[in-house]
Amino acid sequence: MESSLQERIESGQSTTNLDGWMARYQQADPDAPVFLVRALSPALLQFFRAQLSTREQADDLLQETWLRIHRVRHTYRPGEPVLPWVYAIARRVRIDGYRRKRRISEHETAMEIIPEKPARDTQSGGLPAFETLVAALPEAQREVLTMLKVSGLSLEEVARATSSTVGAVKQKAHRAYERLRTLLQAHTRDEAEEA
Amino acid sequence: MKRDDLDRIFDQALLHQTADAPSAASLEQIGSRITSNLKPVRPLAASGYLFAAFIGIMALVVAAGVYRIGTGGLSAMNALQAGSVFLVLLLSIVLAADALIRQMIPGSRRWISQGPLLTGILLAIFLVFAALFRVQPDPKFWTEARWCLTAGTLAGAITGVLSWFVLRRGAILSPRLAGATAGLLAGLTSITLQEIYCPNLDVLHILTAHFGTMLICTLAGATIGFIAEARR
Repeated sequence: MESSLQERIESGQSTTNLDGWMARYQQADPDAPVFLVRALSPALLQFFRAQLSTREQADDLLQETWLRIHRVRHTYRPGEPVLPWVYAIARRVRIDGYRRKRRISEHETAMEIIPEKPARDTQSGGLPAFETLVAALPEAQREVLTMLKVSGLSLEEVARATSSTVGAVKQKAHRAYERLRTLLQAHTRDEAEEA
Repeated sequence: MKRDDLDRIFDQALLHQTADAPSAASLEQIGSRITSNLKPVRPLAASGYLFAAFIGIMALVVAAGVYRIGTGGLSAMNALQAGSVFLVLLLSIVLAADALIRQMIPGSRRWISQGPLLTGILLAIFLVFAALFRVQPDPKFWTEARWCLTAGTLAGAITGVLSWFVLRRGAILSPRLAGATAGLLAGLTSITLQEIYCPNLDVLHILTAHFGTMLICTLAGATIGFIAEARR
């Protein structure tokens, strides 16, 4: 049972698979939550890490997300896409967690420079790591970009997960790209001058 | 800096995602906590049933109020006033109920952001009422306003309490927004009842006592939601 479950996880998580596993979760199939946890947790953890969470905070948020998913699993509608439902909950857990710890400011301002390099900062090719780059974005843009590029959600799915419209998501993504492009160009220029 | 460079960074992030995966122990712990408390659940009712539930509650409260107080308002209005008032109220009720149901289901599709929707509903009702009715000086202005505010707020409170039993079945991710929407829905119940029973067509009375009740209900709902969110 365990090896066949693992094989199914490793064979890919098509949305159809996820939908089916969610329906089985609602029917109390014990394999279903195990499959979903293993299939979705890596992307969720990356989502939390990209929102300026430490590894420890991200792990806590991941646990809390799954507990909340468990409590509200009856609100998933069989046949509807799973990812927007999961990410809407994850997003809210993150917001509640930060508010609870009084760390989210309602009036964040975007940083105009890329912050000082943390320990694991550059990737191969000398470019800043993803977390470093998105740290310079406003929260809303950072969230949208992470869901699109790291979690692999579509525009429609991101819109659903963020309780927004596709148009608003496109606008945020466009602005995020523009800001990142500007910051990267400045970063590259600075490095060239230092060299 | 080209978009390709940005996409390359994102691709690296995806590769890094695998390397930065949750530990097996962590996943095991999560899985154990969930499966130790695993029971079958009944999926949330279809949106149509939820919509009917909210509308049914509103209709019940309005009917009870009309039975108790009467239909003086309907008799006092002309066809244009009655038609316009109840059309805008009906549309507002449908939109508000739909918005509330979407808030019960995480990841629901949204055609418009909720904040502008609620604001738009309030504004539309205000403008329609301001356009349809005229100032009619009334020596008993405050007495009558107080009566309508009391009756309307009571109707709104009853609607809000009954609606809570439907609302709690969902997954309220944003209590303050859900509270404001539920409050608005309760306020729409109040104003509908008031427009049916109240024969006072003075625009100042309508905007103060009727529209004012709707504002009170919306703010009360938002406040309750804010408190609930602060306690999470």
